[in-house]
This record gives sequence, C-alpha cells and structure tokens, in this order.
Amino acid sequence: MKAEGLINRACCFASPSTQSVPVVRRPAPGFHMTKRFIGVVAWVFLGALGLAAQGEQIFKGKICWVPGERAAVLGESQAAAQCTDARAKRGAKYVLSNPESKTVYQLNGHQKPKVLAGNDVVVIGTLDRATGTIDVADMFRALPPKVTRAKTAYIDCDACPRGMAAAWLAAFQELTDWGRFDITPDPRKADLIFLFSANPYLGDYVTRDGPDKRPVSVDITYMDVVDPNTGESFWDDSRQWGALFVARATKDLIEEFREELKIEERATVGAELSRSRRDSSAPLSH
Amino acid sequence: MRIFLVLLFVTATSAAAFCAPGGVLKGATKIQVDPTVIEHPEKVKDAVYAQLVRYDLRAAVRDALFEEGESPLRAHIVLDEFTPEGKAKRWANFGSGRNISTVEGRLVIQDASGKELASVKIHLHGSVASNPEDGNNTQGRQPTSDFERCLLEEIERLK
Repeated sequence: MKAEGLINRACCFASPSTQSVPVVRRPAPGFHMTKRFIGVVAWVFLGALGLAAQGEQIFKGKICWVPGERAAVLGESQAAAQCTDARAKRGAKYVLSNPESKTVYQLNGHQKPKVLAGNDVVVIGTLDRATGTIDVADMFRALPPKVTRAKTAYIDCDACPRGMAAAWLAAFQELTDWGRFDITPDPRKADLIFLFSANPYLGDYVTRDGPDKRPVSVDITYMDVVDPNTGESFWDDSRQWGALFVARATKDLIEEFREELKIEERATVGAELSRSRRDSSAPLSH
Repeated sequence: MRIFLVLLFVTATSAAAFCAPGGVLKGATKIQVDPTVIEHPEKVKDAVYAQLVRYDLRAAVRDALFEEGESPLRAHIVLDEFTPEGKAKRWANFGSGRNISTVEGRLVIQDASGKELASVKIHLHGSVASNPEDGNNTQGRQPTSDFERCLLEEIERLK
C-alpha cells in the first residue's frame, strides 16, 4: 500500500510518550468553487474511510526479536538485549524497540520484520494499547540523517543503454519538479547520488574503476540512493516494467522515495516535539 | 565592387552574430551560472528545459576547468527555442537511447554590473540530456550531451 494514501486517510491521536506522530490530513490548495460539491462528497466518503482507519500512526524504532514465550511480557531491557543479535530463534516474535522513548511494541500482520531485523525502521500502523501491539500497514527502512540533511544531488545512469537511457531525463524532470535538491553536474560536490541502472547495484560506486561491464537486459529499472563518499546504498527499490516504461518507472521510484522521506521527516519532527515536551515538563534543577 | 561590399557586410555581420571576443574569460577561475532567460515562452513549452540547459552550462563550466560559484563573472543562457523530438520520431529512434532536441539560444557572459561581455549564438540539433553512450564511468565524468559539448567548445574559445 502506498504510504501517501495511508497518510491521507489516517487519523490518529498519539500520546506524547510514544515516538509516533499524528498524521494530519491537509486540504488541497487551489480548491475551486466548481469542484466544491465533489469535494464535499469526497470528504464525507473519505471521512468514513478515515474512521475505519482511525488510529493509524507513524512509529520509529529498531526491529528486534524476543523469544515467543516471553513476547507477552515485554521489558525494554529484554528487547534491547535481543537487538544485538539479528538471527531470530524459532517461534521468536519481532518487536519495535525505541530506547529513546522507552517503548517496545509487538508487531502484527506484516511479513517484513524478518528482512528488516536489526535495522532502524519506520512503521505505519494501528496501535492496540491494551496489548502493546502495532497492526502494521506498511514498514520500511529508516533513512539516515545524511539523506534528510542532503541539499545537492547528482543523477547517474549506470548501465543505461537503449531504452534505459530515458531514466536520466525522467529523473532530472522529477527531481526538478520536486525542487528539494540542487542537481549538480559534479558528483564530488553532491550529498547524494541518484543511481539508475538496469542491473542491481553491487555497492561499488566508489571502488569500481570504469563502467559497469555486466550484460544488460532492459527489463527492470533499479534505483539506489548512494552515499558519494562510501558508496553505501541508503535506499533502493526497483520496478519491473519493461523497456517501454523506463521513464515512468523512474518517476515512480523517485515518488516512492519522496513519500518515504516525507514520512520519515514527520516522524522525526514528532519525536523531537515529544522530546521537547518531556524536557519542558521536567522540573528544573538548581 | 558591389558584390565585394555585400560579401564583406555578410562576413562582418555573421562574425558579429556568431563569434564573441576571445579572451573574455582569460585569467578567470570562477564563474557564476545564472538562471536561464526565456525570451519566447511560447517556444519553450516546459520550464524543465530551462533547468536542463542551465545544468549543461554548469557542467560545461566545470569541464572547462572553471570553478562554479559566486563570482563577478557571470554566465547564462538565453533560450529562444527548445523543441524536443516528437513522439513519432522518438518511437522511430527507440533503442538508440538518444533524446534529440533542437535548441536555439545564446550564451551570455556578463560582468558584475550586468554589462554584456560576450554573446555567442547557439544552434544545436542533438542531445541535451545525458547521453549514456559516453558516460557510465563513476570515477570521472566526461561531457555527456551534445549541448554540453557545444557549450564547452564556446567557453574554450572565450578563454
């Protein structure tokens, strides 16, 4: 499910003690008179949908595991201890642990925890406070601060022959429309590299000498957001849309990255707000 | 005699229109690349083209071994026309990986006061976006579009 869709229909009330952020529905700008009636009908319909999805929130933390029999009784120290070992034992249950906000939640209804075990993640879901369980709607790897702080970007199309060549221009158009990054022609001045390829990225952006020599079949469009200093991939995804829809796949991948970055930033701002609220309510020591 | 005068006039006007005084960029180390000016918005259908030609100018400045940044010496493109390849032609070229466009404009160099030091006419029918046939080297970047190459040549001439 698209994260943006979730945001639009979500409605929640986060307590300051959790590292979660209430998702706010924003009205679209430029609402004309002629569209007002349709808008009202849509609002009523979406409102009903929103009620169904009431309580959806954004949570940040680390995916850890606890042994199955102990899953019901969670202590923060228990969960934190398991975070160091990414290999879960049979029957283990995955939890979302956030030592900063001192919260540990069980996760329900999603297959990804195993893949993301040991990673910092952003979870969108509904929290059942009675059982301390999040019914997960979507989950993805959290983006490091290097990404959220980035100001300049370089677009590279690696292994981009034939139809794949459309990726560069599509990426340029999409990133220019977004307007968040200054697209620089100098990779050494870039904070991030947007790397497109018809082959999966091997993590060798910095170390490889020369072009990608692997054979290319233009079928899958891969996108990686790469650290220009280390070659580490901060974010990656792909679309198997064939050679005819490379441009569309490229734009869709950037759109997905953009949505995840937006959610990440909302979660971060929410966490900072709740932290400052906690700090301001604490008694001053003299 | 009349023919000679006509020929002299044509040569002089074309030289004035297509050439620029060399040495304008002599001794310069840093150039500021200003936003593209669109003189005829009806001939440049998408604002992204203005960004694209500015990107190529920044790349050409870099390729010519100038530093890009705040400087009294400023460069920008005046874009008169940008016509991307039609859909039918793009389909016909499918598989080549090239996006061909027709670009008409000028490369303008100004000083800090805005005085025009050079104006070079640019006419190009070729690729404006990155050309994958030339690139793909993560360790060093080469000029990757025909427009960038054209701008690089003009900048070298102004040195």
